[in-house]
Amino acid sequence: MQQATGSQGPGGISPASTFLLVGIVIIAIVTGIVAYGVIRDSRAALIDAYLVRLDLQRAQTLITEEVTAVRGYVSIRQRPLLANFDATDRELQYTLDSLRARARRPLLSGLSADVADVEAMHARWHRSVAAPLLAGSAAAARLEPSGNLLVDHMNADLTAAQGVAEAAAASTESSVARTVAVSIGVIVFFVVMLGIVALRLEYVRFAKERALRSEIDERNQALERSNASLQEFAYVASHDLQEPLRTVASFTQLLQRRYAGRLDKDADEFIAFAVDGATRMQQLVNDILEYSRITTHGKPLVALDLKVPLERALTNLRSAIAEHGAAIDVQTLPVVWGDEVQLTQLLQNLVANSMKYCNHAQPEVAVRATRSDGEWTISVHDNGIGIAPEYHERIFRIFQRLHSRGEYEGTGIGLAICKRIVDRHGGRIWVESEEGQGATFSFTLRAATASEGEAG
Amino acid sequence: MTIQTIEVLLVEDSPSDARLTQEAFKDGKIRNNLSIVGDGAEALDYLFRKGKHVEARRPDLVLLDLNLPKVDGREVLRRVKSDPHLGSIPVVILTTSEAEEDVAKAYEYHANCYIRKPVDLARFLEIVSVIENFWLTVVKLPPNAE
Repeated sequence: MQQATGSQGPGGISPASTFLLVGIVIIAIVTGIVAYGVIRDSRAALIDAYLVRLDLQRAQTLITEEVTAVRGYVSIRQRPLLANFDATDRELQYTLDSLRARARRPLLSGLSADVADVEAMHARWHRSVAAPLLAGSAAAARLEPSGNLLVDHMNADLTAAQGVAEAAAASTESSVARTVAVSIGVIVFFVVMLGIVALRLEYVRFAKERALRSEIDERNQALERSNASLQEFAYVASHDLQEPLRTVASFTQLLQRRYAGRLDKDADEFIAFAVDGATRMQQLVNDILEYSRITTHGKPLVALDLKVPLERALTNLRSAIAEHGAAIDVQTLPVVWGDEVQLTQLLQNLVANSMKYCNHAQPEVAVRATRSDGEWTISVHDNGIGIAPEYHERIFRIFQRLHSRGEYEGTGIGLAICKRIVDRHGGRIWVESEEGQGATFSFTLRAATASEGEAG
Repeated sequence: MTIQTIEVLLVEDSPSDARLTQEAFKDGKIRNNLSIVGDGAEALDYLFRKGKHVEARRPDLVLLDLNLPKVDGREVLRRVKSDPHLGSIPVVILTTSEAEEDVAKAYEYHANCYIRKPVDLARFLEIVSVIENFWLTVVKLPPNAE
C-alpha cells in the first residue's frame, strides 16, 4: 500500500498554522500583561487618591483643632488648653509634607498649588495671629477677624483639593474600567480567532483523515473484490472443468475396457497414457477445488477443543495407522479458535504425511502443544525421512513435490492445504527438519477458553 | 412365464452421460428398453404423451437429471409426482449436484432416491448396475397400467 507522502501526517499541523497559533497566543499574553500593568498602576493611583483625601481631612481637622485651642486659650486663659498645640502643629506639618509628596503624582498634580497655598496661609496665621494671641498681646483681639479669614481660606483650599483628589479617583476608576473592557475585548477577540483557527485546522485534518480513510477503504474493498473473484474463479474453473474431464476420463476408460488387446500394442499404450493423463488431471482439478474451498466454503471460527478434530483425523486415518503399525502419541490438547472441519483436515494431512514419509521404519508420531502469548503452537513430530533445509519453504507451495510419483504418490497439495488453513486461522506454519532426522511440523492457533466455546 | 421388457426413461442433457448410461444398461441382465430425452420439456411430453411422444409407453423407471434445459429437472419431478397416474413410477435422481438443498428438495418432491454421478467410470458402471439390479430385479414395481 502507498504511504502518505510529505511531512504532514493525517494528524499533523502545518508550520504556517503553528506560526499563526503561536502569534495569537503571544498577542493574547501581551495584552494580558499590559492590562495587568495598567490595572496595577491604577490601583496604586486609587490608593494614593484615597490617602490624599484622608490627609486632606486630617489637615482640616488639625487646623480646626489648632484654631479652637487658640480661641479657647484667649477666652479663658487656661494653659492646659495649649498642651497639645505644638504636637498638633507638628502633625499638620507632617500631613502637609505627605500631601506635597503625593501631589507630584501625575493625576494629583492639581493639588500642589492648593497645598502650597494652605502651607503659606497656615504659616501666616501662625506667625501673625496665633503667636501674638498666645503671647497675650494687647492688640491681639483685633487680629481675630483676619485670622478667621485665613482659616476660611485654608478650608476652601482643602475642599478644592478634595475635589481634585475625587476627580483623580474617578478618572482612574474610569480608566481602569476602560482598560479592563478593552483588554477583555482584545483577549476575547483573539481567543475567538484561536477557536476559529483551531476549528478550521481540526476540520482540515478531519477532512484529510476522512479522505485517506475512504481511500484505504476503497483499496481494501477493491483488494477484497479481486481476491474474492480470484478465489471464485479458481473454484468455478475447477468445478466446471470436472464435467468435461469426467467425459474424457470415462470414455478413455471405456475404450480401454472394451478394446484392450483388440487393437494393436501401440493403441493399448496410447490409450493407457490417455487414461493416466485424464485421471491425473482429474486429481489435480479435485485438489484445486478442495484448495479453493478452504476460503470460499470455510465456516466461522469458534472456540473448540483441539482434541475433537484430532480424534476425528485419527479415525479417518484408522486403516493407514493400522497398515503402517504407527505409534501416535498425543498429549493434552488446548481449546483454540478454529473451524473444526478444516482443523481435522490440517491434522489429518500432517499425521498422514508423518506416516507416509516413514522410510519403511515403524512410524512414531508425537503431537504436542505449547502456549505463548495468547496463542498455542501445535507440533507434529515424526521419525521419518526428514526434509533438507533448502526445501523448507517450497514444500508448502501448491503442487510442489520433492519426490517422483514412483517414490511417493500424490499431487503435492497436502501441505499447501495445511498452509492455507493455517493462514485462514491467522496463524503460521513451518517445519524444522534435517534430512534423515525426522521432521517437526508446527503451526500456531489463537488460544480460546472453554467458556468462550460454550458461549459461541 | 413371459420375459418382460422393462421400460426405462433417461432424462439427460449431456450426450456423453446419456451414452455412458446406455452402455451400462446394454450390459444389463434384464431386457430393457431405454428411451432417452435431452430436456425437461421433452421429458414431460414423453410422460404425458404429447407432441411427437403421443405413442410413448409408460416407463417403469425414470432416471432424472436435475439441471436440464427448458424445464428444470426439479419441476419435472414435481409434475410427475403430483400426477395421479404417473406418481407411482419410481424416479431415481442421477445428477452431478451435491448441493444439500438439491438433495432435500428432491426428497421433498418424493423422489425415490438421489444418486450423485461418480467421477470414475468403474464406479459409474457399478452404480448403474446397482440401480438396474435393485429397481428392475429386487423391487416389485407397481403394475404398468396400460
